[in-house]
Amino acid sequence: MMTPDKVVQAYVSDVARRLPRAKRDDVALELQALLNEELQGEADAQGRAADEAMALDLVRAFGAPESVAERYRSADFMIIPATRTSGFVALALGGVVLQWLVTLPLALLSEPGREIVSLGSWWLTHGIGALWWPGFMVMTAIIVGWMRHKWPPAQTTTWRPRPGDRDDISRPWWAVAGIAAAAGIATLVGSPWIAQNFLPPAAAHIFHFDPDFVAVGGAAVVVMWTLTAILNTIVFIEGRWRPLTRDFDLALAALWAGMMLWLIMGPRIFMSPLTDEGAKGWMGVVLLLVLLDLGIKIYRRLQGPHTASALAAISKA
Amino acid sequence: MAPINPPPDDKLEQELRRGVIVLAALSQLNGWQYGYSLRQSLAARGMEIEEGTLYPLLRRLEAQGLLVSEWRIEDGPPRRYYKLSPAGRALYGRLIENWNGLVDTVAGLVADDGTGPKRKKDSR
Repeated sequence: MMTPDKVVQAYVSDVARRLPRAKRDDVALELQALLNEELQGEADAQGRAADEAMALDLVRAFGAPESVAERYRSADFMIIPATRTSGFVALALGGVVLQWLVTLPLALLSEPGREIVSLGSWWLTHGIGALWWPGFMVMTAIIVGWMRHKWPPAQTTTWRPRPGDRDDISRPWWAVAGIAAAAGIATLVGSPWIAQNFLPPAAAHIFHFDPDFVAVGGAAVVVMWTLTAILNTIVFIEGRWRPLTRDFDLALAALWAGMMLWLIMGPRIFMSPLTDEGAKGWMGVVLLLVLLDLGIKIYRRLQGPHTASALAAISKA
Repeated sequence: MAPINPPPDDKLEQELRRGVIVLAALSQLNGWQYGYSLRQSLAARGMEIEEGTLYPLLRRLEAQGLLVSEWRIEDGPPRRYYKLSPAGRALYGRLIENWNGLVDTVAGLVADDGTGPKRKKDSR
C-alpha cells in the first residue's frame, strides 16, 4: 500500500527520467506540485481524503510516463523524414542484400566440398561486414538531420514542374550512348586483334579469348547484346518508354545480372590467367552496377506506374 | 482514463478542440497564472482541457518564447507562474484575428449548407 504522495512522486520520477537532464528537476518539481493540487482538488470534490486508488486514477488519466515526457520535450531534429522512411529502409536493406548476393556465391564456390566452412567464414567476414552500409546510412542521416536542424535551409526555392516525365528519353543522348556502347563492344571483341597489332610481341597474346568461352559464353553475350540493342533501338525510335518496353528492360537487366554472375563463376574467359582475373574483377564491378540498376528499376516499378503510362494503359483498356 | 483508440467521432472532435487549445490558454494568460489555476479558470468558462495536455503545453509555449515564467512561493507550495511574453501577446492578437475570420467563414458555410442542425434534429 502506497500513500498518495508516494504514488505521485513515483509517477513524476518515471516521467522526469525520460526528460533532458537540463530541465528534469524543474519539470519534476512543477509536475509534482500540480499533480498534488489536482489530487487535493479531486479529494475535495469527492468529500474524502485522497488515497492510493484516487492517486493512481489521477496519474493514469494524466497519461503514460513515456507519452507525457514526449509532450514535455520540444521537437528534436528529425533523422529521417516520414516521406523518406520507406526509401531509406529499401536502400539500407537493398545494399546489404546486394553485397550478400555478390559475396555469398563467391565464398561458397571458393572451396568446393567445404561449403559449411566457407559459409561460416563468409558470415564472419562479408556477411556481418555488409552491415556497414545501414550503419553508414544512419550516420549520414544523423549528420544531415542535425545540420538541417541547426542551419535550416532557406525556403527560397519554389517548386517547378519537371521538364518532362520519366518515360521521355533524350534522343541525342540516347544516340551518343548507343555509339559509345558500340565502340566499347567493338574494342572488347577486337581486343585480340588490337593486342596482336599494336602491343609488343611479348604482350600480344594477353587478350586471346579462350575458345571454349567463345563457343558458349561469348555466344550468350552476343545474344544479350543483340537483344539490348533491339530494345534500345525501339525506345530510340518511339522516343519514350512504354510499359511493354519497361517490362523487357527489367527482364533484360535480370538476365544480364544472371549471365554476368555465371561468367564470373564459370571457366576462364581469357587464355592469360592475369587478364582473366582482371577481367572478372571488372565484371564484378559491372555486375554490382547492373544489380543496382535492377534494384532501382524494381523499386520504381513497385512505386506504381507513371501517370502518363497509366493513363495510356487505362485509355487502351 | 481516455480510451486507447477512441472512436472516429471522438477523434475528430478531439482534433477540433486541439486546434483552439493554444488560443484558449493564451487568452487567460494576460496576468500571472500557474498550471492548476489556469486549468480551473478555463474549466469555469466551459473549456475543459486535460491536465496531461495543458501542463506540458505551457512548457512548450515557454520554450517557443511565447510565455515567460517564474517560480513563486505564496500561500502554499512553490508554483511556477506563466504569463504572455511580448511575442506571445503579438501572436495572441494574430490568432484572435484568424479565429474571428474562421468563425465567420465556418458559420457562413454551415448556414448555407443547412443540413447540419436539421440532420441532428432528425436523428433525435
